[in-house]
Amino acid sequence: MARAVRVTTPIPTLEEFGENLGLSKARQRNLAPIFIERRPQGFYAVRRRGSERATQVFSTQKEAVEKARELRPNGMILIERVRDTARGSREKWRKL
Amino acid sequence: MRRRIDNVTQNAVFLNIPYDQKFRSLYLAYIAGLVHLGFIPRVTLGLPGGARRLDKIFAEIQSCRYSIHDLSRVGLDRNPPRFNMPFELGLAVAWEKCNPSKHAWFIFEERPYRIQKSLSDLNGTDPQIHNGKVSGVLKELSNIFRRPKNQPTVPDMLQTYNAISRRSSKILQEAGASTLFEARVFQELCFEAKVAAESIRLLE
Repeated sequence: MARAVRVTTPIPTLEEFGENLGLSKARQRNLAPIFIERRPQGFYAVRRRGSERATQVFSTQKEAVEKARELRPNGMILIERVRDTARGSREKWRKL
Repeated sequence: MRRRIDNVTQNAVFLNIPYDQKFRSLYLAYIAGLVHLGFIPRVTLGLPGGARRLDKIFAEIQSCRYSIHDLSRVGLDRNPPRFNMPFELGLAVAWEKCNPSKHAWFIFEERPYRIQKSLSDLNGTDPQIHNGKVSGVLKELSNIFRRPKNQPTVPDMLQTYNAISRRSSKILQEAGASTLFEARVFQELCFEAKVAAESIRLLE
């Protein structure tokens, strides 16, 4: 029987992880995912990870997706679900 | 070198693996699995500073709480055979013998019982057998590292592997690199793995 270890150290956040790797803040921002979330007023906000303020808000999800694609042509974009489906419910995210 | 002794990063894992194109998928599997388990992988690619390479490697082993040594490709298909990996394993074993609370090492192999022939000094040590498969690496990583809470599943880790595998050609292109075994590419693969692992939690 091979040995195993019990790991209790906390899982690092994305920021701690990037810093430990030696990645610059700018590069981390470029590689971090972008979120498209629906605001209570009905707008769609494009927001970078770790930022409370939206980069820009749009009246439709389609426009927000276009902006996110422009900001992250190859990166991960996560969209807040706006309806309940068999694959996921509201307040969860889906990948673009 | 002694100044590093008190500077052990508890969630850092030193990866002693072959930098070999045939090992590409298992290299990505180690990155995906370790990052998903909450670790920070470290390799000898692009070690900073002007010190002697051996000193830098030993300092890196000393600074990591764990080390993984994949001896599945220590064979005679190269000419001449390279001894770096067993040598680095020896450094880790010696370091753990002197400081058992600061380091733990693990051996990964492709086939069972082969290490008893290739490195009989380690008889009595059971290696983790991955059968040369991505799922084997992920399974064995999750066997040796047990988190009391939030232990990721192998299918979740496989999703992270798939995410970085898909992204790897773009990362290569952006870094202007021809191989995944370069320092910048390694950093970005690790970061992408972390992004993928975190997003899986949001998507659940």
